[in-house]
Amino acid sequence: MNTIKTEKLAARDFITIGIFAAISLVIFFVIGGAAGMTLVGTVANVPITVFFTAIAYMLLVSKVRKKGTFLIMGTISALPGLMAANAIGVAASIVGWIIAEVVASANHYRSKKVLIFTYVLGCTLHSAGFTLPMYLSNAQYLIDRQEILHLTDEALALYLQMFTWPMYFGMVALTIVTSFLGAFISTRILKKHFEKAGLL
Amino acid sequence: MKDYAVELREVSYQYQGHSQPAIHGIDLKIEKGSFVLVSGASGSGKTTLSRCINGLVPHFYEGTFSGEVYLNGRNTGDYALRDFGTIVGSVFQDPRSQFFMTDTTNEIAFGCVNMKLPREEVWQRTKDSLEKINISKLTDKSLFQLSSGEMQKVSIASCYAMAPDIYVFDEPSANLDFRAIMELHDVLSELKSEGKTVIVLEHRVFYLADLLDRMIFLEDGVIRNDFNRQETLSLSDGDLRQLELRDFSLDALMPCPRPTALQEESRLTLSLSHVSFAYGRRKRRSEAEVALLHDVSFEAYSGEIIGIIGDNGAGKTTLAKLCCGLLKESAGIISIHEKQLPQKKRLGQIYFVMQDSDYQLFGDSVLNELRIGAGNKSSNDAENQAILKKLSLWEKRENHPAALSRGQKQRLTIAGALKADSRVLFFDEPTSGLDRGNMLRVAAELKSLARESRVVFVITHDYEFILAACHRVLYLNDGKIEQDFPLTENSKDTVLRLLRKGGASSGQD
Amino acid sequence: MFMNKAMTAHIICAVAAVYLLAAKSYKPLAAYLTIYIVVALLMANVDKIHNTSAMLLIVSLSYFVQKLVVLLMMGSFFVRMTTIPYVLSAMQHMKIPDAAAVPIMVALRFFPTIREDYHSLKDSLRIRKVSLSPLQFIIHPVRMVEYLFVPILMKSLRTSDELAASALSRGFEHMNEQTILYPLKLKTLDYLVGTLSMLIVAILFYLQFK
Repeated sequence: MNTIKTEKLAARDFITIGIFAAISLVIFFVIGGAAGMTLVGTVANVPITVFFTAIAYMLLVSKVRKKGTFLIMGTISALPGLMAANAIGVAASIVGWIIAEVVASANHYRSKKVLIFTYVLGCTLHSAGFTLPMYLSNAQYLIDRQEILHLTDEALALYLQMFTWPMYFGMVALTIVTSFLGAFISTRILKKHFEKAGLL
Repeated sequence: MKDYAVELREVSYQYQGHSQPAIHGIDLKIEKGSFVLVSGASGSGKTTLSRCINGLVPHFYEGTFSGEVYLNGRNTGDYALRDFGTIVGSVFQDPRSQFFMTDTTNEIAFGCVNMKLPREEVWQRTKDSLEKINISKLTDKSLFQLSSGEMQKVSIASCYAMAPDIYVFDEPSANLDFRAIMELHDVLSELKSEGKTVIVLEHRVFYLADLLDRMIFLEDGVIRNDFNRQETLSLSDGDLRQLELRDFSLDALMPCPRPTALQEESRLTLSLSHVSFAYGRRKRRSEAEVALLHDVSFEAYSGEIIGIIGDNGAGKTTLAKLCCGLLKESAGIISIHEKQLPQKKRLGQIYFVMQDSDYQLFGDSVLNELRIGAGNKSSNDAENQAILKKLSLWEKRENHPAALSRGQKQRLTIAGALKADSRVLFFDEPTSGLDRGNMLRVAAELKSLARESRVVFVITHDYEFILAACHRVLYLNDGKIEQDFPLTENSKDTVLRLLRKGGASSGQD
Repeated sequence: MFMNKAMTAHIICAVAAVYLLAAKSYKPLAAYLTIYIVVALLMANVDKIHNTSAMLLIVSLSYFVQKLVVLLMMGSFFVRMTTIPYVLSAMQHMKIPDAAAVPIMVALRFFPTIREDYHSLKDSLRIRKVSLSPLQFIIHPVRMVEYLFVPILMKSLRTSDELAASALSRGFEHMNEQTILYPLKLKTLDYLVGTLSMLIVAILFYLQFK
């Protein structure tokens, strides 16, 4: 008799996901934290971290090719947002990963290209959703202080136009690039090491 | 017709993706309450056999299974993996990767909570387990602060709480020091006296001599020999060698003949003078880095192989890390060829091969492994080729290091040491988990390293290995060198005594 | 997130400080409060600076710092007060599905292991003369990923199988069906604190949007 392999996520898969989610979170905190010490790094925190967490994701979905893997992984990786009182951002991020998950599930986690695409999609939606509340809030913050800062209406509008919104969309766009690079390079690394060693 | 504890009928199994079955046509009957040693080289099928007993085959691994397995007289064909826990307790090789929770009490209770027992009963069983396995002092402790031996006992206790009648151990002594092996022996003895059926897969058998009733030897997936107790213990050294088994009796061993003392060209290579080490404000990272060193002094000459023994926490690893430049001494002088070396200069001149080869190999092929590191020395392929040929790794040069056998990985780490061209080398437990052949092979390699004007230090508790390789022994206790003597026929008993002693409390008792 | 009036922020900070006090975490409390007060003072006097750019910079800085300090304080509180068995218990009581509960538990249990592994790896790389400075991450990101992440991932891959085998062999299947070892009951104090916190939040909302 052959071992029956289930299509649904089971206890052993949850354990595997947990381990890789832990690694992804550690990468996020260490690299995100280090980058956060610099100004550029704080603004570009999401694009930078998704480049480095790619390999944890790619390895996980290569091993556990079942529906729901991306979603759980993405959700857990977004949870630290709750500590930052960014509940809305976390919720938006989860929605983003649900959308991404649909793509991967439709393909039954078969094609490498689709997996890379899913990662890019998920990260981009995460970036858009997770950071939006902060940018909105930041804008509101400035507006509230318009008088104190002696800003004219034009000056305020200019500042918002020059910094806040371009930055937001810029970072989201940058996330597309870095997440793709991260996933692509990770797939090559997986081939070079894990497939070659017979682990995958 | 009496019930056997374990019965395998015509069992065969082939892992998916493998071209050969791991085991085939196995017929085996194990009586209730018997203590069985299962031996065989790596790849012989022992682990697969154990997996058939605890249900991991066919319920966890992918492959093709045929035959029937009976546990306590019942066919396990319709069982699910979750049903096996109350029948078979499995203790795997690496205690670190087995625990699910982070503290001892919850870990021991883990099996019981899975069984959905009422809370009171879970606590009662946990308490009983802690007592029976003799680890009550470890109640509620963090698992990350335990030694390997203690972790393993927690593992055993976790199985014990589920009250199975059959236990399967897969090379349990692999990561244990001498004292922990003695304690393991006591636990096994307790299990046996309670009438449990115990099956142990092992190469290292001296601690099982008084417990075993039977030995099964596997080769190429079939049972080649099945000895009863008397036959097992009367095997000659030649037989044991063939079976890749270490010796059953340590007292009878003699040190291998080796050139006495030193060669003529031997020169003073490493000397430590009143070296001390204490942690600054750095946090303790793991149990291996706990130790301090007080006023350590010794001299080592080229060509020597020096064994370093002592308890956990005595300072052995700290000494190695200090010498090789990973740590900075708080006092004292470390010199090579009579020239003092501060910390930064020591890196590279003194090399350290750590215990876990998983964290010492980084390349995607054996050849590329040697090319890692600074300078154009790395790309000197002629040199790389010579080194690999010497260690019989040249044929594997395109293989990925992770795909090598344990013995081959070990040799690859030695290749790194050769590459670094260090005059002083430290090895940390290079023989853990190795069978006789591989252990002797490591001994031969170290001897050849030493012969080329190097000093080799080996942190070890492997008595057989010490006799095979070492000229001299340093005994560390509480951060001090308490004994420093050459290894001879007369002093070998001292070594054994010191290993067994383990009396000095390391603070965890 | 939208609490932007100064008073609101101060109240939230005070609440967080009370939590930390309750957790007896004095040194972090002192550190965080100091940072917060310094920045708040800066903000209060910002209109005295006549350079617009400098003002904007300070405003943005104060914004981030205020938020960050509060969340760090709460994070510190959380880490101090909860232990993994209680997190497990809470999840079991809330009947959180396995798909979330198991990965969370395993991830929590795994953090210390990753830390240990990283230290071993670092030592090993030092001996092989491979530098691990942040600079290297920027210049040779791919190589860093190869030397640092790949070994940890490889080991984790193997560990995940071993851990799963060990857990399943002991009957593990559904976390939310396990016996709950640490029953959590909401006590009077909890109700009190909870109500108080909600009251404060409600008041703040009112003040903010009045």
